[in-house]
Amino acid sequence: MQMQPINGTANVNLATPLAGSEKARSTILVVDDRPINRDFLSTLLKYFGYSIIEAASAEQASEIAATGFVDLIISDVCMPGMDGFALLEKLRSEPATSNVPVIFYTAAYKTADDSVVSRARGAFAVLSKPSSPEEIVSTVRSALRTGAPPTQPTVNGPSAQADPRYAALVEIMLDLVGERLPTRLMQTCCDSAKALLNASRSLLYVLPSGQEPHARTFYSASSNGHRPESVDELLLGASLERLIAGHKAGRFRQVNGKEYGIGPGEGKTLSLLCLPIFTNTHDYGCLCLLNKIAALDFSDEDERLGATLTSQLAMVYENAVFYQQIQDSSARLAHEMEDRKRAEEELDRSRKEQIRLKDQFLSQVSHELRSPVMAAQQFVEILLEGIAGEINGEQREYLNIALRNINQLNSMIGDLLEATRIENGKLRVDLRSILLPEVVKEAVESARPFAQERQIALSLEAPALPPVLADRSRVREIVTNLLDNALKFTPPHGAVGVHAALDDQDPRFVRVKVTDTGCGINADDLGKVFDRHYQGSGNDCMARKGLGLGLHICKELVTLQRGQILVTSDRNAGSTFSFTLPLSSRVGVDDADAENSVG
Amino acid sequence: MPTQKILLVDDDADVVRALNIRLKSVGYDVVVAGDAMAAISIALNEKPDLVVLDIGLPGGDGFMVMKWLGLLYELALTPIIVVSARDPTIVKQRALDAGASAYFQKPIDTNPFLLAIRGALEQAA
Repeated sequence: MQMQPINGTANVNLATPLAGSEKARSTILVVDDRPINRDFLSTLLKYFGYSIIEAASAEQASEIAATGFVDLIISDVCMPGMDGFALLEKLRSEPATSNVPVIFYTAAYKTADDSVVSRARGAFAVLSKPSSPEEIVSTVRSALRTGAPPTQPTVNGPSAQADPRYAALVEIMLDLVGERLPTRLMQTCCDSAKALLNASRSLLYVLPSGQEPHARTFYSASSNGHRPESVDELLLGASLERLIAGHKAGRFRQVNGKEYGIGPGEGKTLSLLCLPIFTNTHDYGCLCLLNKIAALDFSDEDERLGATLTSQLAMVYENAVFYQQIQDSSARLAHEMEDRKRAEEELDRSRKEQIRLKDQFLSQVSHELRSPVMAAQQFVEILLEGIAGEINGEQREYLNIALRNINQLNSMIGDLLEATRIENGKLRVDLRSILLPEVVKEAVESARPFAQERQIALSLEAPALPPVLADRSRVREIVTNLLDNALKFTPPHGAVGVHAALDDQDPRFVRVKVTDTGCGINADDLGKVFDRHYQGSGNDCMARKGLGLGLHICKELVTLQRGQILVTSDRNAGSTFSFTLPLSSRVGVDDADAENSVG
Repeated sequence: MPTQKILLVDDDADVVRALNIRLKSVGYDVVVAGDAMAAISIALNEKPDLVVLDIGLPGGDGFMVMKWLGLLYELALTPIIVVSARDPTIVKQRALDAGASAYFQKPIDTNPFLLAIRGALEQAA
């Protein structure tokens, strides 16, 4: 079976043969700031065999026109920057473009016709948006034939003589623009085309797409509801794909008395109109209309109408496909993000659980350690006190060293637990009005034996001060810790001083300073000493013991008590650690009941 | 005044032994128990003047022992001093609420511990 193109040529288009005065292939410059308008004109005019150059602005257009290759310019009037009228003036003022015909294609005509007409003097014509393809093409043709601009442009509004079906076409196009779903868009177009062109049947064939390389899709609208099973049923020997690729419409009629059926019970196909659906970048498929009702064949006008419909459809379809891709990918993205969030939550939960188990383990271990430490401490004390018999001086010295190490071990266990509490935000202070000098004195006195042992002069300067709001045992812990560090890092015959007074900078605070003559701290390290696990770097002037948690805990404790801790140091000239505590606004000391416990 | 008797309850034998030596050295009579059930039966038999009680014990913890002692008529007023290795932020208040006279965290500060024992005995007398 063979389809025979009408007039014996597949290159069927609605253009009548080009007139002799027209160049075989005229070049038209389409100027519009909106891509969709450029697309429309380009598609239309390419379809008629013209070669098209597009410009997105008047400036760009005047540059292109200056090359001298442009035979005709179709320009929008309202554009950002230079407008169409200014472009026209510019073109006329330059020899290379003074004779190029210009057609304005504008919506502005509707609102300000007089001024448009007068300002458009020198243009070949003013076409108003929307104009039928027929009007546009005929205006283009006559402009190319006439060439020189008349003094008064012909003004073409929407033609009164135009096929009344154009009104229906505009309705259909408006429907299409509102449709976001590509499949429904195609179906709507297929149905509308059948009615518009008075065909007994319409089929819309969609080419396999990049994502679905084997999916050929048919949409059909027919009186008996039959859907074709394959493209071959429709093609009837002619290559539909080739037709689409050539961007040419085709009209066919039965030849040689042969019949070609479309499907079982379908009867005969006597006439066929195929309209490719394509944009500048993509070929989408073909709209096929079968068997003109009440006529032998589809007319030129039918083909024009159909081509306008499919060119519009192509653009809307492209948008819809793009829109759906965006929808799909954003849905996928949302899904992925949800998955990721769930995974992160799961990870977070298991990490928290791990931390909890670690803390629990740490806490358990630390407490288990305390019983053996206590046994060791008790036996050493028993020996030191002579309960198990007299001991000599050397034995006493060694036992004291053992006891000091036992105490150190115990305080490390305490630090470890304290650091765990800090990490969990469980460190608590019990704020009451207390007398600071008393507490500082206790801490200094309990450090005195160690200072004597290390032959370090330990001095205390703590005049009477107003009460501060603090946790007594925690303050003692802080001072003891700072003193312990100072004594450890000060060589024999050095000096450690403790000083408590109202703060120079802010008299609402009391400042306690612990100064030593030890090896000092590197300037680089000063900012880090309060960090967790800080151990002096290159601080080899003294052997170190401990977990490096002491200062970290001190800082947390001072902060919890609404004070500040600071350090200043000169390498080899000693360090000064100081912290502040807020004065209690209350009068009276150890008024425990009245003070709130602050956590 | 007759010698006062202290019941020492701890599952760490070395701790029991050290405290035993220490308490005897300052003149107390000492009986010992290594678990919760032994603590209750020895308390019933020996009727101590004071109990030094660990919390972590086999066969029931120190809180259970305190509950039992509180229910037994002859022992209800016996002062109890808790010595525990557990986190004092959790255990201390609970022990005092349950009726302990004092709470000491292991390892104990020995002198305050001995002072607390003496104080509790004087108060109970």
